[in-house]
Amino acid sequence: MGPEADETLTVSRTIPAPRTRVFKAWTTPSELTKWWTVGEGWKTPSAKVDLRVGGRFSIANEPLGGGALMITGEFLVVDPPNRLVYTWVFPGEKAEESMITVEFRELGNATEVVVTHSKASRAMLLQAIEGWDTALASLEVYLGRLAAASKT
Amino acid sequence: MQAPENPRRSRASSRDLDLLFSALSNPTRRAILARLSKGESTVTELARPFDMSLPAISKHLRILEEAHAIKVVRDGRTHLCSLTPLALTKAEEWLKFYTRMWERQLDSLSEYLRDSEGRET
Repeated sequence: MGPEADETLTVSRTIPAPRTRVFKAWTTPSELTKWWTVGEGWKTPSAKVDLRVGGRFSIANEPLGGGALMITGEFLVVDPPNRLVYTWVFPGEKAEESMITVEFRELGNATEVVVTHSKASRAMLLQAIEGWDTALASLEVYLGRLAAASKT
Repeated sequence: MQAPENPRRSRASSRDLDLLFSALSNPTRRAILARLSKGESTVTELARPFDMSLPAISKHLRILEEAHAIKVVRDGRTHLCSLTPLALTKAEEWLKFYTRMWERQLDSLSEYLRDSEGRET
C-alpha cells in the first residue's frame, strides 16, 4: 500500500432532526430517493438497501438527460442509530472500492452527521475497526465469517 | 521552489463535477473507459467492439475528453486515446470531488428533514 491509501476526507453537518430520524432517512430507500443527490440536477430514481452486515446497497443516480449511474457497496458495520461503515464503488473509479463511515452524534434535538470517506483498502479498514474499543456485535459476526471463509 | 497553484484550476467546480458525472452516466462511455484502463487505443480500435460508426464513437470521446476523463493525442490521421489520471484518481482531485459531493448530500438531507415531507415520515 502506498501513501495514497491514506487519503481521507471528512464532512460534517448538524441537522435539525433527532438521531433516529436522520439514521432512518439515510438508510431507507423510499427516503433516499427523495434527498440523495450526487450533483446539481441529479435525481435518485431508485435505491435498494439491505441493512445488515454483509448486506449490499445500490443507488441509481440519474442526470437530467437520463442514463443512470449506479453507486453500490456493502455494509461492514451496522450500528443503528450510531454508526455505519460501508464500501463504496463508483463506476468512474476503475472499480476500486473506497470506504465510508457515517457517524450520527446526538446534539439535543439535532444530530451531527460526520461522513468520513477514505481510500483505504478493505483490509486496512477492518484492521482499524478491529482496534476500536467498542466491541460491535455485527462486526464480530462479519470478522467471524471472514475468518471462516479464509479457512475454506 | 514550486509555483503556487492556480486556484481556478485546483478547485473542482460544480461544472467540472457535473461534466464528469454526465460523461460517466452513459454505458458506452463507461465501457470505453474500461477498455482504456487496459491501455491506450486508437479511435478505430475503440470503435470495433461497439458496433458504432466512427462519428458516433468520436462524439462519446469528445464528451469524455471535455470531462477530463481521457486524453486524445492527434498525430496526423491517427487519434490515440488514453485515460488521463482521471479526476478521481489524483489524490487532490479525489478529495475535492468527494468533499463537494458529501457537502451537497448533507445539505440536501438537512433540507429534506427540515421540510414537512421529511418530518412526517
